Amino acid sequence: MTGARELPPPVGTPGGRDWLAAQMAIGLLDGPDQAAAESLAETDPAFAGLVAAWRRRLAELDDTAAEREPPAHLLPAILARLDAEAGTADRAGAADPAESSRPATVAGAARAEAASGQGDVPTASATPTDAQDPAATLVPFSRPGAARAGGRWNSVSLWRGAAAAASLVAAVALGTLLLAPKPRPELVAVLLVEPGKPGAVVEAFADGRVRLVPLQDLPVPAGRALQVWTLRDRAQGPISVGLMPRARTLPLDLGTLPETAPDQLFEITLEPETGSPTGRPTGPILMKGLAARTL
Amino acid sequence: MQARDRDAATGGDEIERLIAGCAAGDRRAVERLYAIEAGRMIGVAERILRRRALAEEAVQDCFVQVWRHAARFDGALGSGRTWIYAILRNRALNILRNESRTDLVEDPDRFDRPSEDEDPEAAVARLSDAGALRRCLERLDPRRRAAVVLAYTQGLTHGELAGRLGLPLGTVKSWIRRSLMSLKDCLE
Repeated sequence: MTGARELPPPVGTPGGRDWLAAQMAIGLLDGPDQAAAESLAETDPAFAGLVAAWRRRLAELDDTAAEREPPAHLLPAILARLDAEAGTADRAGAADPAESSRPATVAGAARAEAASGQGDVPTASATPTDAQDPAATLVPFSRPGAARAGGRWNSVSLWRGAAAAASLVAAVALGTLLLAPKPRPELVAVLLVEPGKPGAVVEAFADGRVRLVPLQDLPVPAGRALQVWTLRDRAQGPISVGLMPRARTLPLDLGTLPETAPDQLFEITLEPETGSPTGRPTGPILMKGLAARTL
Repeated sequence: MQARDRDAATGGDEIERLIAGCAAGDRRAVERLYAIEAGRMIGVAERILRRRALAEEAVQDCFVQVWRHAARFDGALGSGRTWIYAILRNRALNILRNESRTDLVEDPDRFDRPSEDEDPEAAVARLSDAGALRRCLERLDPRRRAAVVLAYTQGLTHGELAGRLGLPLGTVKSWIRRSLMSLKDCLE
């Protein structure tokens, strides 16, 4: 039924490049592979052409989405954002585009940067990509010039030159990214639906990131959501670390909790869609497991 | 190709002209683009994000990106509409995967989603009868077709598809790859 398993063609081969392009166009890649594909698309017009061809092939699927009535506030909100953009150097010659146009809140800034900061990345392919991590654009040295020199980076001649200069570097980085093993979690918790039946894993990485990866879909009734909890200290009780409408890979927000430790409990409960009203699990436990250190 | 047909139906290369208008800093071009596409854009983003408020945010971000990058749109690589929806899907996928957004789940605008929105077969059925994409998708085994359509319309990764379809990850990757290659052959 499933057919013979076969290894995908190596990335360096024509078939491998097209497969990578297809996955990028569809949105199947995540993490380092997505970043690598994006940098390849930025520097290699032939690859960008493959990605564009996949987008053309599948574009009609966008028309199968239901059409929704846009809320009245949406257009004014967009136009207000464009007003902020209008002050940027590439349009009006202003010196500093970033500062005046930023929303006041940190979250707002992250979103605005995520949305507008992309222009600061040369994209020779004219295939739009997006910031991997919107928060990263707030760190000046993570993307030199992005926050403060949008106008300069939007200069076509400059980015063409930069793209050409960057292509060698990018090619090397790409090889590394695609071949390097993905970061290995330091701790893993296998959450069991019942004994012998894993439903999800929680992975805690050395840099403090923790994420949940579902292994099976869970039926979520309308108006309910899956809430992820961790119990580190019985005196403190379980703490909510994530909420999602259905089972999917989810970065967990452990906030101020100390680093994940062995035997720390993780569990998922079924809660109202806005999360448990009490701040404690109220619904049935769907799966749970204890963290253990990887070898 | 259907997107191009649709462009033709809405009056030649109107979307491309509007993108050029954005590049020239013409706000009316944005307003017109919004009038034509915003409703569909919300629908596309909502299939991926499942929350109306997040979908609207993705659409808002998308318009800002279109406005900013309009000068870099290259019609040789595809239609303007395909370009705009690529930006939108990219933004929606980034919101979905890279941002822990528990702050936004309290969404008073939740609505009752028609269940057909979740069904990949329903999406295929809404493709143009005459179109090559529908004909070629319908040549695939139904579960493989579902895998491809779910990946595109709902933004599921290989791993999530494996979970949804109850198949090993390697099998899902192999299915998707082979399905896409036969789609490509069929569409050529």
